[in-house]
Parts: sequence; C-alpha cells; structure tokens
Amino acid sequence: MKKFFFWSVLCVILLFVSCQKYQLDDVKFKPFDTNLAGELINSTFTVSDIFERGSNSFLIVDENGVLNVVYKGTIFSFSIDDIIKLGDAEMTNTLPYPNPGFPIPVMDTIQNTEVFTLDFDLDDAENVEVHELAILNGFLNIKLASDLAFSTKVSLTIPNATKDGQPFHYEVDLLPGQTKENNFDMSDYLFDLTQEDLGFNQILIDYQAIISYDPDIPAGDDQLTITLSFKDIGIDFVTGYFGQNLIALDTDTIDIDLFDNTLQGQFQFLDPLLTFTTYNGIGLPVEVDVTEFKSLNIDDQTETELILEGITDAPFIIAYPTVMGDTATMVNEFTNENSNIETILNDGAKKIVWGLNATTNPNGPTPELNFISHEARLKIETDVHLPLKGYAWDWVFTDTIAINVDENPEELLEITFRLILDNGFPADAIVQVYMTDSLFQLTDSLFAEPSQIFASGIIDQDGIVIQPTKTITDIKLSGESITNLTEASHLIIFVGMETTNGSPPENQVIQIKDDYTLGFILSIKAKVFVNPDEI
Amino acid sequence: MRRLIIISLFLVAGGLNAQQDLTLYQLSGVPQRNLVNPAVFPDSKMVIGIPALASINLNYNNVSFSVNDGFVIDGSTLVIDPEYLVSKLNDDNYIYNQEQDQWFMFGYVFGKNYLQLGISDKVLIDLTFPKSIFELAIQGNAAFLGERVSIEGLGLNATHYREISLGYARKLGKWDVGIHANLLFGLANIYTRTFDMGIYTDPETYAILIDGDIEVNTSGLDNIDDFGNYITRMVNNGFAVDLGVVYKPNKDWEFSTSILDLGGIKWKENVKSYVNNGKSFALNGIDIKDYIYDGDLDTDSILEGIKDSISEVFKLDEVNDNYGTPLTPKWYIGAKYNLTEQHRFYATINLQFFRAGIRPAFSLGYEFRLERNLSVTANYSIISGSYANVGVGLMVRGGPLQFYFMSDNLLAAFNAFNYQAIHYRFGINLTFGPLDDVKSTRAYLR
Repeated sequence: MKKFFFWSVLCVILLFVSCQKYQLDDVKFKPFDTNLAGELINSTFTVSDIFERGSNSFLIVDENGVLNVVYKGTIFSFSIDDIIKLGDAEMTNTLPYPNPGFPIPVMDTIQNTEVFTLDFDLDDAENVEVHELAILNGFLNIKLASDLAFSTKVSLTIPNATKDGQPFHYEVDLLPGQTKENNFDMSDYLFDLTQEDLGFNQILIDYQAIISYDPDIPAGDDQLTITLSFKDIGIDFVTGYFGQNLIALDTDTIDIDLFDNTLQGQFQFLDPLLTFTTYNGIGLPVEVDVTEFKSLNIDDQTETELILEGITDAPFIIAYPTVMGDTATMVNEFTNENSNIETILNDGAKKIVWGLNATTNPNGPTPELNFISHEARLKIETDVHLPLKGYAWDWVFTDTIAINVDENPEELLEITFRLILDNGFPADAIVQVYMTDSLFQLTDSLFAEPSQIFASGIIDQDGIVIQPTKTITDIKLSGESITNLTEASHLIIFVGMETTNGSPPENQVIQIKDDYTLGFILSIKAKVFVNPDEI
Repeated sequence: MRRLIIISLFLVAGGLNAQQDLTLYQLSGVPQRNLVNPAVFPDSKMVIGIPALASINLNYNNVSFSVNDGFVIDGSTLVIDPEYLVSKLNDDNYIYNQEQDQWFMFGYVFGKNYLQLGISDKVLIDLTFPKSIFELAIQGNAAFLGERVSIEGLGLNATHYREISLGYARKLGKWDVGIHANLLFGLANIYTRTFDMGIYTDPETYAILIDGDIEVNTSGLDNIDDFGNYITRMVNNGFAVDLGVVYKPNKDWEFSTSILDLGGIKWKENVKSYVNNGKSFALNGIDIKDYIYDGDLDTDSILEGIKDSISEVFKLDEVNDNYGTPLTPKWYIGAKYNLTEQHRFYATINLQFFRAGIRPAFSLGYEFRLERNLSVTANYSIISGSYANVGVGLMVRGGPLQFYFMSDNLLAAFNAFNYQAIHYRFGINLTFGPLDDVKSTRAYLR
C-alpha cells in the first residue's frame, strides 16, 4: 500500500504542477488590422429614373426617336357648377279658409295656384333664361301647417316638373292645428320652364285643400301655411341662355423640374413644342383673355413673357359643341415659328406661369341654346415638350444630402470609396462634394479639386451614344478626413455638366434616346482596426 | 461574440489533435487496455472500475505549434496574437479529439472467457479547415481581390454520444480473440456533410460571390440549455463493434491487432439541417432607387438597407430529415518482445480513418513490470508529423485498489504551453483475484 500511495501522490503532483504555473485570470487579444471590401450600391438608372421625377411630367419618344420630357399643366377646367348653379330657394304661401256660410256643407274645397321662381347663382342671373332643367340630385322640402279648426286633405302638384311623364304630386291629411314636413327626392325630375304665360325660370305650383267641415265647430279666420324649399339641387343638364358671366381664374404654374437645383447653365434645346389644347363639352361660347403667360428662369429673378400667336396676343373664343354630349377639341401647337418657347426654355425656364379670365356668351344670346350637362367639361391643357436634343454647357447644379454616419472613426484607419459609372449618356461631369457640420460650415471636401467622375459615352455623328464609357474613381480618405466625414451632417454636391462637346465652338448636338442607361456602383474598401476585446 | 472568437482561435491555435492512446495499448495490467483491444484479458478475475473514476481521459494537441509559439503569457493574462497564429497554420489543418469518460466498468473472467460491461460518454470533435478561411477572417477579403478563396473542406463533426459496451473475449490456444458490441445513444451532433464553398471578391466592384454547396446537419442542440434533461437522454440510436486479436506464438513474442468503432449513429431527434440547395450567395450593393422618395435620397434608410442586405444574403434553407453519421474507425497493430520477465520492448502502429484521410502514429517503447503490482513504461512516438512525444505510463496496485496514469507526452505536463501535445489518462479500479495463469511466471508478460 505504501508503494501505491507513493506513486499516486507522485502522479498527482506531476499532473497538476504545470497547471498551477499557468493559472490564468484573463485572456486578451492583440489587435490587428484587416482589410475589408464590399459593394454598397449597385443601380442602373434609365432615362425614366433620371428625367421622369415629378408627377406633372412624363416621357415620350417622338417620331425621330428622341426622348421628350413632357410637362403637363391644366390651365383651367370648368364643369357645370362653374357655369350655372341653382341656389337654395324657398317660397311660403297661405291658403285662408273662407267662411262656408249657409246652407251647411259637409265639405269645402280651396284651390290655389302659385308661381315659384328659381334662383340661379350667377353674376348675370337676371339675364339667365333656362328652358329645360333636369335634376341630378337634391330635395324639395314641403312643410304644411294647419291653423284650421277642421281636418284637411291637402294636395300639391307641380305640373311642369315630371318624372317618367308624371308630374310631381303630393297629398297629405292634416288634423286641426297639425304641422307636417317632408323631403322629396327630386332626382331625375325634368322642369319645363318654357310656359308662355310665365316669366323665365318660373314654375307653377297648384294647391288644393279639401276641408272636412263640422258645423258644431265655429269657423274662424284660420289658414293653411305651405312652405316649399329646394335644397342642394344638383343639375343633370340644363338648356337655355346662361348669361354673360366673367370667370376669373387664379394664377397657376408648370414646374420644369429638369432645372431644379440649377445654379447656372447654357442650354440649347432643338425644336421644343408647346401645345395648347381645349376640350369643350359645354354648348356655349367662352372667350378667354390671357392676362399673363411667362416663364421664371433658373435664377428665380428673370421673367420672360411667353408669346403664343393667337393665344396671348388677343382674347380668343374657344370652340364649342352644338349637340349635347359632343366635345369640341382645339389643338394649338407652338414652336419657334409662332412663339418664343425655344427662347424661354433655352434661358432655363424653371416655371411657366399663367393667369387668365374667361367670359361666357361674350356677345350676348346666341341663336342656339346654351347647354351643359353635369358630365361636360371645358378644359384647357398645355404641354411643354422638351426634346432632349441639343447641347448644354456650363451647367452647374447642386444638391444637399443630410447624412448620419453612426460609425466609430477610430476603427477606420483608411477608407477608399470606389465610384464606377458606366455612362451611356452623352455628357461629361465634374463633381465636388463638400462636408459640412450642422450649421453648414464647410469642414472638408472629398476631392482636392473638382474631379471628373464620369465621361461621356461615345457618340456618332448624329450625337447618339453608340458605346458607354466606364469611369472608375477612387476617393481615398484617412485620418482627419474620415473623422470629418463621419461627423458631417450634410454633404453639398456641386456638379458641373456639359453635353458631349457642347461648349462653343463645337456646340455638338446630342440626342437622348430612351434606351440610354447609367450604371452606378459605389464600393468601399477599408482598412479597419480590430480589437477583438471590444467586440 | 468574443467568446466565439476565443473558442475559434483555441480550436485553431490549440487545436485538439488525435489521441491514439499508444501508451494504453501496451501498458500491462490495466484493465482499460481492453478499450483499445477487445481481445485483451485483465490480470484479475474480477475488475470493477470506480464509478466516474474508472478512466478519465484528457487530451490537448496542436497540429501546428505550441501555445507559447502563438500566445504570450503576460503575468496572469494570456495574450493572443491572431495574425501570428494564422501564420503557423498549414494549408490544410486537421483537428481531432476524443474525450472518453468511463462512468462504470465491470469485467469478469470465467474459464477462458472474459465478459465486460462498460458505460462511457464520448465526445468526438473532428474538424478540418483550410488555412485560407482564417487568413480571410484576419486579413480581410480585400487582401484577396480577384482570387477565389477556397474554403472547401471546412468540416466539423462534433458528437456527444453514450456507449453501453458489452465485451466478450476468449482464449483459443495461442490466440485471444475479443469483440465489443456497443449500443450507442447520440445526445448532440453537428455534422458538416458538405462544405465546398469559395469566396470571390470582384477586384473592380468589390462585389462578393460565395458559391458552392453546403449542408450542415445538427441534432439535439436545442436540448443543451436544459442540461439535466440533456445528459439523461437515451435517443438517436446507433451501433458499433470493436474487434481484437492477440497472438502469442511463444514466450518471447506477442502480436496484436484491433479495429475499433465500426458503426454509426442515426440522428432522428430534434434534427435541423441547413442547406443552400446549390444557391450562390451574391453580396451586391443595394439598388439606391429604392431609397429615393419624391426625388430625395433617404440616407438613413440606405445604411439600414445595406446592413439588411448583408444579413439577408446568408440565409440557408432548414430541413428536418433524419441523417446518419459514422464513427471514426481506428486500427491498432502491436508487437511486444519480452527480453526478460521484467523488461519488455514494444512497437505500436495506429491508423485512424477520418473523412479527410488516414492519420497514422507510430510508437517504440520499453516496459518494466514487477509482478502484478507495478508496471512502468516509457515510449517515443511520432504522431502525424509531430516528433516531440515522449510518453510514460504507470500502474500501481495495493491490495484490490489499482491506480494508473499515463501520458503520450509527459514533457508537456511540466510546461504545457511549450508543447503541441498534452495527454493524460488516469483511473482507479478495484481488482480481485489474480487469474490462474497470471500466477505463473508467464503471466507477468501479460
């Protein structure tokens, strides 16, 4: 046993002596540098992505295959409520009860007829002469109040307000002293306002009251009171003469956002086009007087009057249909032959502003009746077709991007941003990016000097890109520049652009086609300090 | 994350290497020799391993360098230099560890027969990895622009299973033959069935493409958090056999061979496998157009979008099909020459059959034995290219109590961090009654 214990103790000592020597309390890593690379952004921009940004613009390809940015605006749009509107109207009539006298009748009847004048809510309402009026919706409220001492049956008829050939008719029993009120849906009633024995815009109301006479009850000088009121009447269609009314329109604009953020530039757009299109479903002459039509240019200071022959030089009458349901369309196209549209676009128009007035029946009543339905519109639209064909130079624009880089710059020893642009557009650009603090104080820039980050695609003699050009730009940051970037709150980007050989004296005309693309890849390579103890 | 890095670096730097138990195979008088050759009889009629102490095996091996080569001990702090560690790796690296804790062992000799019952828990870690994957992690992908960094062959088979082993051996003249029938119960497994991946970083755009095939099977990992439930489970059945032969042509020579761990485990419980189904993972930049709203760039969302795109790229499909894993077969060949009754010389060859290939070991040793109460051995081994392995073994017995200790690399015990291999095995048994033939002089040769 002694040997056993001796050897056992020896082995245990051998086993654990070294472990005691390496009694470790902590493990630490030696930091190291690693080099990481990755692609951050990979996008391909089509012409739609680049040019079709606003809701008021779209792209078309013209007959020459050139891409056009079309800016669309509605100069005005009238509907029936702008032309003629029936206001709420009320009429109260009383039916006095005559003394029945003697002999003693068991019943007595009172009959009466009244004229109700409709109230049209127009400046020239007094001259409005409506012939037919179809109701789209709305109500006729009838309130009957009896002060009579007897029970009474009252009936009311509007003989010239028909629905499915039947005149409006209403009967009701009233107890002594009772009041009853009802709303009647007047949808689909047609009012014929052409009775020769009435004035314009008037309708007849026929009343009848049948009184249950009771000789035991003394009759007084009591009466029935009847109140009629039209409420919230919407017109389905109306014919007649609507008067001569002036419709003033607010100033409105078309934004040409192609020049957003543009600071300066020289542009030459070839063959721009402005179309002025009227769609008129209202059967009456309307005269339009353009009070202003101008462009605001890229400096937001300069205004240029837009001259459109036949539109801006004198009031003009919009073509109108002669049959209800038809639409008269009139298209006026303006080029540099009959307008100065090319001039204002080449000046860098950012907005086109207009104001105008419209007058209905400018020459008074017409041989034909005016008409309008609730579906009819009088609309004038204008489209500015900006063909992306021409040249530009000295085009400088800027943009500001808010950034928030939540990274520890101490771990970033060196960063290289790689920008790869595969440019299928006929334009060159130089760029400078400034970093600013939250107060927009400049702290640094990405480039020592503005740098050409993309070069024009290769073009043929017609200015059409036949091969894209790839440009790779490495932007290396280290030390303080990384700190400035990670602490920056904004990046201000300045871009100087020129179409291929666009500056004088070459003034090379280029064309933008709808299949052009711009490949955009942003990658990063970074030397990173790694301290595993802090991971 | 830090814990993960530490574990990873220890696996690499202090990788666990194959333990061939070369000393155990030849150390006379230790009943646990039967673990490595089922034909070996004990020298006592009845053997009882002390529960939980019958055989404890601790292994530590490093295929590439010692801890002191890659680590610095600064007082009580271990400082790890990842770059230096990676420089020490081979192009293809291989790690294997088997930990075995024998909870219980009982053996009984009757006539020419020997029956043995043992219960053990085994943990296998079989890891292969290319140096490139750690070069990629440390140096970064920017150091490999335009190169396809192959991480093919990255594989892990980590298994914890329980083995109930019934052994039978019989003497047939000059021959002793034996077999173990092992009933296996898998507790947890991670098995990289396929990992043939490569990472390519485009030199121009820095876009990253990860291609190839991956299939990783797991089972039982969700159970580990509830350790009490985990350790008592008997699920995921498997079966394996061990075969052994000892041939003693005369009193001077003894030849032996054994094949262990022929079998595998079928994993059925809580299976989660992850496959890419042939898909490549492309880590491209986001489309910035998705972050332009009304003409304005949402820069805050861009940074989030980039982070999201990275996390979304590496998504594997999960499947729950049963799968099987093989054990790692081992083949021992031994020869022993008895110079005298006390002095013996031996040689041992061991081959282990991994998925990545065969790992050989060779050992030459000397043994001194004094009756049944003391065996001492020393050996020198070459283990898969590692030449600094001097092993010792000791068995002492006092009455029925037997203690044994052995190491395939004793020098490491005195300065563990200077050596690539550290190995201990020790245990305590109760032994009763010498065998009849052991009483004879020749028995000392057992």
